[in-house]
Amino acid sequence: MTHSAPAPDAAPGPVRLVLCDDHAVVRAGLRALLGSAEGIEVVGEAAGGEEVVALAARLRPDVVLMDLQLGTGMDGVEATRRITADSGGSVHVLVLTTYDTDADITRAVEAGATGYLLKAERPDELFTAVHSAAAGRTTLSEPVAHRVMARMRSPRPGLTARERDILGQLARGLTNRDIAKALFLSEATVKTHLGRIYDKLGVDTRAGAVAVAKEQRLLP
Amino acid sequence: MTVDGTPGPHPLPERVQSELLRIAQGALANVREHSGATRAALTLTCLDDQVRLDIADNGRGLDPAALPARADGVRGHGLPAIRARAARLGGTLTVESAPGDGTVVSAAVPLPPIPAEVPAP
Repeated sequence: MTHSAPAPDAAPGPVRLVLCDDHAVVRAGLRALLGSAEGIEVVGEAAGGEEVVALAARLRPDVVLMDLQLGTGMDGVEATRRITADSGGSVHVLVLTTYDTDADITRAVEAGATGYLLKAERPDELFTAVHSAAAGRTTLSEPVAHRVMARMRSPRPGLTARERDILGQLARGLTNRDIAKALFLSEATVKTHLGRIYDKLGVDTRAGAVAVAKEQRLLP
Repeated sequence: MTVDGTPGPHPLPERVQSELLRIAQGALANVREHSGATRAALTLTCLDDQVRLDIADNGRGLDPAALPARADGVRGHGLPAIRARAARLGGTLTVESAPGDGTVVSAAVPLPPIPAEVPAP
């Protein structure tokens, strides 16, 4: 097993880490894996959002390794937000998830996550990322970094209130004619709005627009 | 009547403003005189390359195919005059209606400078 040495500015002693994942088998696997790594001590584990927030407040770990989808109850993004806020940023949250959608990445980073790793990552990359997170440094899995860069390279203009409104009706399965009737508009104007919406979302069909809207959580 | 305008990035050229006002007046006069509607809505949609004015009502409707296509020798009101005003601005007028199903008159006017991109339906 090889991994980079802890950063010079990392806290002395092992990195104290709390695990959060709703799957017991995953927690057991991660605990065994991280327990084998030099300089990392797993001090607690939680199966849900509420639990990990309480645990982080009590144990004050250096790093929380956070799954985003936590079954019922508080999700990983909200737990990240609370832990970051409660600790004044001294507890670093490293997201470890299966998902790399733009929406998930954006929400996690906005909530205060220090890093964003995919579960497909190799163990030594995980260990390095844990040490980096403990020192407050960002680590992104390569596909995540790629998505962030792609997003910044071609930012999509935001939808107007009217466009969001029309997109919402589209998602409910209304036809152009239904939408025109509901909004007291001509179908020609509805089609014009749809054209703008498609351009902004980078799609060319109704189904594509609805899929992107759901993925990016553009709908109320 | 409701007016729902989308604020545009730039003020409209005065000529466009005054013609759209006349179009609105003419279309609303039609609603009042002919439609028997209980509700009318006027919507101004300002985009970077065009402005659209929709006048919609929930009245008795009409058969768009029976409308005269040309604006020759007509008085100030009426759809032919409205169509002529839209045409003078380089724009188009569409009338969407069916008997018993309300009417929407929609004027689309291009704005300078006109970008190459035209939204596909």
